[in-house]
Amino acid sequence: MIDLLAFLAGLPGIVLVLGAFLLPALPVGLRKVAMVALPALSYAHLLRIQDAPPSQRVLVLFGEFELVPVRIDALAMVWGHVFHIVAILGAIYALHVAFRGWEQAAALSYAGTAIGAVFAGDLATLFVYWEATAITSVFLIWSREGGRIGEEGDRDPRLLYRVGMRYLLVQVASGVILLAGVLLRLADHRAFGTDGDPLYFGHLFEGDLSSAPLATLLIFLAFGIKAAFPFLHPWLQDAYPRGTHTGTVFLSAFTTKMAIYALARGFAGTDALIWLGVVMTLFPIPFAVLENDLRKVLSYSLNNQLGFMCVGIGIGTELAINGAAAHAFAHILYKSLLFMSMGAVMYRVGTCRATQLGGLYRKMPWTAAFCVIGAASIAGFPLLSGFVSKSMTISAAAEEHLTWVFLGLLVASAGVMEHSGIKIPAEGFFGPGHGDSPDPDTVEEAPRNMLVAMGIAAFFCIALGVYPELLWSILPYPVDYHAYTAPHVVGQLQLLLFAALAWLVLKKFKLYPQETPGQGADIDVVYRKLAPAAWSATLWAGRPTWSSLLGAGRWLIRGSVAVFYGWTGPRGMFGRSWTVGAVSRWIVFGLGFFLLFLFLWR
Amino acid sequence: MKQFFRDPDKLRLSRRVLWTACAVTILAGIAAPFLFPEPYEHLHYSWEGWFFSYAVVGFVSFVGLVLLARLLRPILWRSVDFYDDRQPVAGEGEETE
Repeated sequence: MIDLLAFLAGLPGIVLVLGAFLLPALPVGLRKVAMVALPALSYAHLLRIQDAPPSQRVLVLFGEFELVPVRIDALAMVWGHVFHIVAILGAIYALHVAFRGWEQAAALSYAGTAIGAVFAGDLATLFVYWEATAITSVFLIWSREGGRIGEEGDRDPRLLYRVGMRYLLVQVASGVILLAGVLLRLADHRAFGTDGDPLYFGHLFEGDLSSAPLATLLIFLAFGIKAAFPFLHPWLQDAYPRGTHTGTVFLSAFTTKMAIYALARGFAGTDALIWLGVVMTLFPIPFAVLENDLRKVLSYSLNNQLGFMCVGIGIGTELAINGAAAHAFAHILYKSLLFMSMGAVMYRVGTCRATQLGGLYRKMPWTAAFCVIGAASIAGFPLLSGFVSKSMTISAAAEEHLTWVFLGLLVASAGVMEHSGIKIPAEGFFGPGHGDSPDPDTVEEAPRNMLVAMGIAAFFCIALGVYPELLWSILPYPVDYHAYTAPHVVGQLQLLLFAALAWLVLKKFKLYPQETPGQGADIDVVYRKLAPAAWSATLWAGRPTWSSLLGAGRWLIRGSVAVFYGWTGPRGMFGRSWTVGAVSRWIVFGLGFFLLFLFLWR
Repeated sequence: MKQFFRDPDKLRLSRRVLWTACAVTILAGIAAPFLFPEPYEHLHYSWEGWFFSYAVVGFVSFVGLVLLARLLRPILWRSVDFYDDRQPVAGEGEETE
């Protein structure tokens, strides 16, 4: 009992998971206090246990293997810090929401399991947390207040149910693939006696992935699904824009960055990640340029930012891993800030579609200002957090003389300026308005708690940009990097400002695509359109076979029913009434047969 | 209902600010190698030191990406009810249910 308590007390994130279960049991007044207090407590708990010597941490024996449920080191602490910060911000941001039961509990337990995952020291523990994040987070989509069936597109409860199921399927599949990889690793260990503990979650692979064993490939694939690799990504853009306005802030922070952590831990220096990352930074841009739903634009932009981190992990040098970790830290904060500002618009206006927004900056000046800070951060303006973190990865690419990667990342930076730096604030707050935009005069500024959360996030964006040493002090490797050199500052300013100029010029010559209602057809057409179509086509093509099979089945059933009816129906042998004489005749007959049988057998 | 990008004065002002800022960065690109020669000696590629290189990269990539998106639009952009489960929003196309 004491062992169990000591074990539980040593788990990072446990405060959030247990607290989330207690939350609905608390009196209404206390719940809101607990919402903010729990992540803060959990952070204090983590800071306390990080100093405990590793020998005091509990290990669990699992057959012949040793599980390491908790491993606290510099790499994991980067995520530990930022996951807690964003959980606190998300909780403050959600304070105005009436407590509907599971949304807040889901948000906190989701944060708790994601925090547990980054401190998991073995693959079995990682698997448990990996699946737990999937199950807890889906409620952030399902908690969205549904309207009537068929009413108001996004709020149709049937649609939300399906979105949640699709999200859950992909997330759970990722976990199952991870489990398959881990089990194969164990089997390989038994068969070939590979060195080390096969369950230990250390560095799993580096170099050319084509030489990797199947177990490693499966684990890579599982991480890749949650990290939204190209072609494995559409779950992200499908689900995140459909979360509740507060839930998406949580969604945007945890799952994908947990996967980035797992890649940084297990696959640093894996070449394939470099090219996957470059593709990831570039392919979402056309989608983001065309997209009308601004939270979906942010989801594509999130995908593109994950690409920068993947490139850093793939390069695998100390500077590059530092860059990926720093970028994850900075990104979580400015991306949650952007999702918060769009969430505030959704809360006040009821929609995030560019074609239905315009001129909101007048009535929501604070939200607009915070959004601009987030947008400038993600674009990478000097003195803001994106500038110092993104440039580390790009410099690492240049230092390894990966010229095409370097150029690809620069082009992608211009793309980030387009969809997140300009489009989000311009369409969200400063746009000229469209036919069906609400009158901005009827809109109110976001609630105070939202503004506080956005203000703190904006403060972090500025603080990390002005004083990057704060960020560098928590990075896994010692930092010998200067972001603020003259060529770098001038170059970045030129890149961003001339990109903005290009926007102006394209607008002037009417070459910039107009926002129109609609949706992008991403690779998910394969499983949302083509696969169902192929299935019905197969059914249609196989109709003759199917109908003859069906006919044979019907004939068989009808025949057996008729035979059975013949026996047991009102006129059947077992159904009709028998006279006493007939029954006694049968009994005499039966007994006689029995006696004869006994006589002969003896 | 005066709005930011409809107010011609503000629009003209913001355009002017942007043009000026761009000009300033070009001037900075010319002056910086003389004012801070040291970091310019450690660049990875020589073209990074040219005073206009990043301006060209930014402008060309932006235009290229937006034109690419325009080009891909007929393939990528579909109606709101493209996926069956999507109910149209008021004013976003015809009711299909």
